[in-house]
Amino acid sequence: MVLLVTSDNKNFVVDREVADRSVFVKNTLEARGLSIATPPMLNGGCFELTSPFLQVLEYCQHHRGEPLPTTDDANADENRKRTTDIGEWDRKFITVDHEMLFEIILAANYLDIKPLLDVGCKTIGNMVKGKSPEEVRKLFDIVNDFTPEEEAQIKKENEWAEDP
Amino acid sequence: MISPLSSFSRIIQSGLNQLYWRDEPEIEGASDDWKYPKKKPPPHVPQPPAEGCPINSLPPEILSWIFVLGQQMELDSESSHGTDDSDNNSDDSSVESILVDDSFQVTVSHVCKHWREVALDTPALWSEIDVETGRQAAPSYRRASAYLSRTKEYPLSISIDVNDWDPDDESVYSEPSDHHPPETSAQLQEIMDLLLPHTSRWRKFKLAAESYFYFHTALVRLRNAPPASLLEFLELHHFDEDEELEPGPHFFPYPSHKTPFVLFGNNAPKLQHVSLYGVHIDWHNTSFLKNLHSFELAYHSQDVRPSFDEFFTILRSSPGLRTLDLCMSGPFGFPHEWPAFLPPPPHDDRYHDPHVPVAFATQPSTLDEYMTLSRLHELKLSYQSPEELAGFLSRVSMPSLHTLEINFEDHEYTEFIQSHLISPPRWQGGSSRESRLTNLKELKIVQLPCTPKAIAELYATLVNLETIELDFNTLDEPFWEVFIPTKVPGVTMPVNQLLPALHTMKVRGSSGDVLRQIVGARIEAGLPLQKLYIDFGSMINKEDDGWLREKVDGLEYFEGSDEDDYTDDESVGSIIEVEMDGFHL
Repeated sequence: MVLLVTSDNKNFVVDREVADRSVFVKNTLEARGLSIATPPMLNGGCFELTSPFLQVLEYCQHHRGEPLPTTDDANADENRKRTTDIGEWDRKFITVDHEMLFEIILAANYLDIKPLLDVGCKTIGNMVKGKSPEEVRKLFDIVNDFTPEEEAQIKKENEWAEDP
Repeated sequence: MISPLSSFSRIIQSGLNQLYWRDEPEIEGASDDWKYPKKKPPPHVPQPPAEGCPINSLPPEILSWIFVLGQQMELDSESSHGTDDSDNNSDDSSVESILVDDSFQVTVSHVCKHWREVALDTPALWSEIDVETGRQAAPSYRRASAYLSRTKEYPLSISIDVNDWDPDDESVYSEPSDHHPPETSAQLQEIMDLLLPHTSRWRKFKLAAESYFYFHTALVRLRNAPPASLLEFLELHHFDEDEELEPGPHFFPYPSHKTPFVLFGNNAPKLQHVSLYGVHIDWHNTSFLKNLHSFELAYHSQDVRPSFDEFFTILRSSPGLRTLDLCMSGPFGFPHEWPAFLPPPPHDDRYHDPHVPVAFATQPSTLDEYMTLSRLHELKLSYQSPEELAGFLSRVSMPSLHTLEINFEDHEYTEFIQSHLISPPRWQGGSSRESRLTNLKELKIVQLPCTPKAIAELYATLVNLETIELDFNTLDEPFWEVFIPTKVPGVTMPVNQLLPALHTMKVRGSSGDVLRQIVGARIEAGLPLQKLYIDFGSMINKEDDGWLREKVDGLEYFEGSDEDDYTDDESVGSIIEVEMDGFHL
């Protein structure tokens, strides 16, 4: 068993198999030769951290025992890129509001849980797919900070047309 | 109140988050002694304020990864739907139309300065380079140049489409012609000038042209190209000017271009996937046709095909071969003229794939009459004569064959089916002589002229078949009527023993009535189908759909490319009928 402590001092006791979904936790445990250990504490004192962490634990619990992606393969990123489908359970799991989605992505990145990171990134990619730049800005509350001149320039670039 | 995102992001970005460890489960009072170094601090990259724009609190490397995955999903989507959105907005009315690029990577690069900076600094986003001759030549060239400059050292996937275009003759689009406008050749040369300096990072290279005239131009350039040290995929597809013209005994229509070439200075050490349609290379002197995972040969006249020894040397040198596709091609000559023995395995370390266990390596270096393709998973055979097929099958053993696709016409294949396809290999001794198809899991039949008895015998051997795909547009009735008990005169196999492992059926051009009978008979025999895929060209009305959905859990409709060739008034009528009912499949 592994005890995980969040920055807001919430304790989570989970099976080693679940904790090992995080490559960060797994490597750290192995490096220190610990079979039982108190695990990472995110130092920040943010009560809200419990919320995404619960989500992450739920994901790890569901996918426990599955093969971990290899990281030593030179083509690891290429293989991850080619797998663009999102499984049914993952799709339902990741159906959360934007802020929680970004929190989960950050947590997955920090804890090095690549499959979860990919699920989150693909979900955002799916939101962007097929939209115009203006629609993307509206979707994510992004301010168009191009100057009119810059915008005209990149629009022209978009057309790959003959110079006027 | 601090929002969850801003608090978490601040922790990540400020580097304040540290790991604390201790061997006792005490939570309070962590000291500096327990600090564990964080694996990697986030890189210092200027970011816009996240206030009011939560997505921009993601680190640039994550945003970059989102872009890469999003682009890949768009490419997958285009591939599955057979569209290319990036070129859909061209204006056909102008002589040289504008190529509006609304691809994923361009879209995200136009959202805001931060996204643009991240996108332009992500080489993978720009590594799919499509360029063409013809009316779109200039804008596609400029796009390719711009993309190329953004890829830095990233491996490239290149696709060149050579369209014939004579600016003085608008009719040239529809009329095959011996006239090849110099503009097209000049455009192709410019494209090669742009891309050839980067062959060292080509990962995929695809060239398609309607005329071999241009292929010759390209092959001459590729002959002198620098080594393609990263190349994994090579596709050279010559789509004949006249589709009705089957390759004959002699290379046509440009005999002067028959001379074969060795490409890339004979240096493409990572090549795994080769697909050649009507394009030949110097089979004898090319040394990189080894360790292939997939090999496709199509539409080769006899005099430009690899010799028997060259062909089987390629197969022998590829112990990890998983897919083999032969369409109007294969070894030169008639099978009865082929040598009695296969060429010996190459005595060259370069031919031994380090990823293939010794147990799967090539046969002992004796003179063999046949070879074992140990890992061959998928075999596609199209438009081959029964003699060619029998000759090929008499030389190969395929113990791992999982998927077989066959599309034959213009001959009678009964004897081939009975004596070669389903019979045990002639070298298989002992009492348990199994059909070579006993372990087959998936079978697709597009055309197969033969007797009903041969069909029944074929099905009888497929005791482990799980998926069958039948094209009702081109196949005779016995191929599916055998599934219906009342329509199988002369077939003695009990229905409850017919394809006992079958759980998935995929059909094209079928009717609701026939599918109901098949599904009903399978249920009655205790062998219900679990999945049924029906093409949109099939005549399925609302009632059929409802009935089938009740009986089969996995019922889906698909839109494939094959059925486009068979669209007829009846099938169109069936679709209209469904839509008129306000019922959408």
